[in-house]
Amino acid sequence: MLAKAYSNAVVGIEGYLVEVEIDLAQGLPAFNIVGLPDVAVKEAKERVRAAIKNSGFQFPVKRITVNLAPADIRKKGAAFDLPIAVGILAALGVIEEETLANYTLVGELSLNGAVKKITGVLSMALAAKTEAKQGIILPKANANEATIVDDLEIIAVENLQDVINFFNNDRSNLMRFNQQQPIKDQYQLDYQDVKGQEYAKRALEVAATGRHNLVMIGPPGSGKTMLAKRLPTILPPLTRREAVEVTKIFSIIDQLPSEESLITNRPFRAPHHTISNAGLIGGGRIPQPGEISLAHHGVLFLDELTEFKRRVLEILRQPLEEREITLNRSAITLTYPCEFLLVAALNPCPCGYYGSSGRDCSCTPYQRKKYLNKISGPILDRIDIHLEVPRLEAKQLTNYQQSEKSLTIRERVINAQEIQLQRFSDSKISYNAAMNSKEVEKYCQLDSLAAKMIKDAISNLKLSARAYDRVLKLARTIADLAGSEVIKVDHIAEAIQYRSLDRVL
Amino acid sequence: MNNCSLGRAGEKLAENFLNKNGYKILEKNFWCRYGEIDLIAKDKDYLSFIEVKFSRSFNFILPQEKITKGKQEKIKKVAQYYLNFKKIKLDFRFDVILIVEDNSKTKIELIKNAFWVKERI
Repeated sequence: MLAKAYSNAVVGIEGYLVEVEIDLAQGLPAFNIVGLPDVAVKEAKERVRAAIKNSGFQFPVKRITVNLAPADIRKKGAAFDLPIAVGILAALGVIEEETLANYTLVGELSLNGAVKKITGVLSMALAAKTEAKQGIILPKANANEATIVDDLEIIAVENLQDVINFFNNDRSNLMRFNQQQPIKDQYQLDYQDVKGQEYAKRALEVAATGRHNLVMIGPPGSGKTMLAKRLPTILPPLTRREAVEVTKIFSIIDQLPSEESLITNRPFRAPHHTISNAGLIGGGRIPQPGEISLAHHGVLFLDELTEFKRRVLEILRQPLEEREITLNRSAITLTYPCEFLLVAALNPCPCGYYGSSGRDCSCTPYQRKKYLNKISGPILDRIDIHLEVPRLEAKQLTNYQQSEKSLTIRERVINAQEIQLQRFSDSKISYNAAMNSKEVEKYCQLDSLAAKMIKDAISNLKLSARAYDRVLKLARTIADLAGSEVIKVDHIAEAIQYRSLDRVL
Repeated sequence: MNNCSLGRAGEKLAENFLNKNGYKILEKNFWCRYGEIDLIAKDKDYLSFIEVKFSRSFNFILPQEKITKGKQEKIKKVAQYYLNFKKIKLDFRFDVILIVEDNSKTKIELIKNAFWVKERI
């Protein structure tokens, strides 16, 4: 008596198909699972046995062998409970095997036969679709997530009996995928809540447009965190492909909001500065995604940048360039995407008030230097915009005039993004910040006044060659926002303003 | 009564109980070099190896607790020997009968499929 059921598992963020073969043979009654199962998979034995018995079926007293193919990938988690149980029932003849082959099954079983929530369902459903399965049978608690996938029957089950009913032609649990609704994001926050700081808002607009990483320097209470938190509201809405990628990642670590099927808001991640290496870039024996991957297509906000452990900051170098992180472990090598916009905030000195108008700074020059030196050159190098956020004056604070809405700013960002997408339509990159020096030369055409200005800036402000490239990229974004083909003098002038740390250090 | 005759009395009780429940007794006290099995019987399509445990109530240990891992291993070995010896091809299982005697009231409990084989791979 042999039966075969199909299931899905996840490696990294990609799902794959698993064949669950079940053989019932004569011999010493035993229940063995082969195919590199981890402890949670091995323990499926006890759950499956109890679930079948408590659903009103006889558990076969046979020599039961379960094979999970492909046999060379390590299987983890409890999602195989359901296919094993259904496979056994198929081997007993309770379920017809022919229809079983058209579906994949995932789900954890409870001892009373209930099917419980698992993680990574979206990736699994996508894998079921690529393997041309007719549908996926999954826990009801996960069903929303899978409805994103089109051309796939979603069968949400609450217990083992539901599955058997389904195969006996009861189609009441069938769910269709949500018709491709437009992606609508909704944020609680808005830039109109931030008083003043027009200069900072402009810089954030530039950052959002060209995806330039940004660091804010300012005294405590100047609104750095407030400004950063609102950055996702002016970034263009996620495309469907991006939204699926983000949802996949959150699905794997089980942090999906239960009422949503697709994450439509851009993620905003603000890890605490005590974060470890593994917490930031991901890690573990079987590596799990870290904060940078959770910030994929969103914003990674590092508040109090100087308080982060130096080693933790240094590991950001590679992912910032590559836009993905490859985690090598002895068991497995996994790659997670991490295309995020880095926003950092720090005080100008240990006491926090250096250069601010209201209060005197009590730090010595040496202290200040030591404080800023905590951020290494290579990291600073990858940050295009240095933004000084001053303390608000009393007049600005008590001003009740409403400032610009996020939606208005976002419209400008979207327009400028269109220009970029067109420019890079036949290259791999899609934003100005990702240009290499060759592309900078090609796309950043200056008019004569602008050329003169940057020449002056190099000699007067002692800009390095690297800073020169950065200024040009920024100027390109600013020109895009202005809708100008050529970079003009005011674009260059604004760009140079955003390089304040080049002068300090 | 000594322990030995107590056991014999228990096995007698178990035999009657099984007969009433549709088992067909094939062997009593099947003995070989690997050990002994109290009863071997046929229950429908299954061959059943039965271990009988008898105890007086208010003992500290319940009868089912007396069937340890070691005892299970022993029963399995004997069962395999028996199947080879008789050249039987049937699905089989291990049952346990628990008899508790409490002030002349006797309670008999049958646990079908009491234990499984755990193998190391």
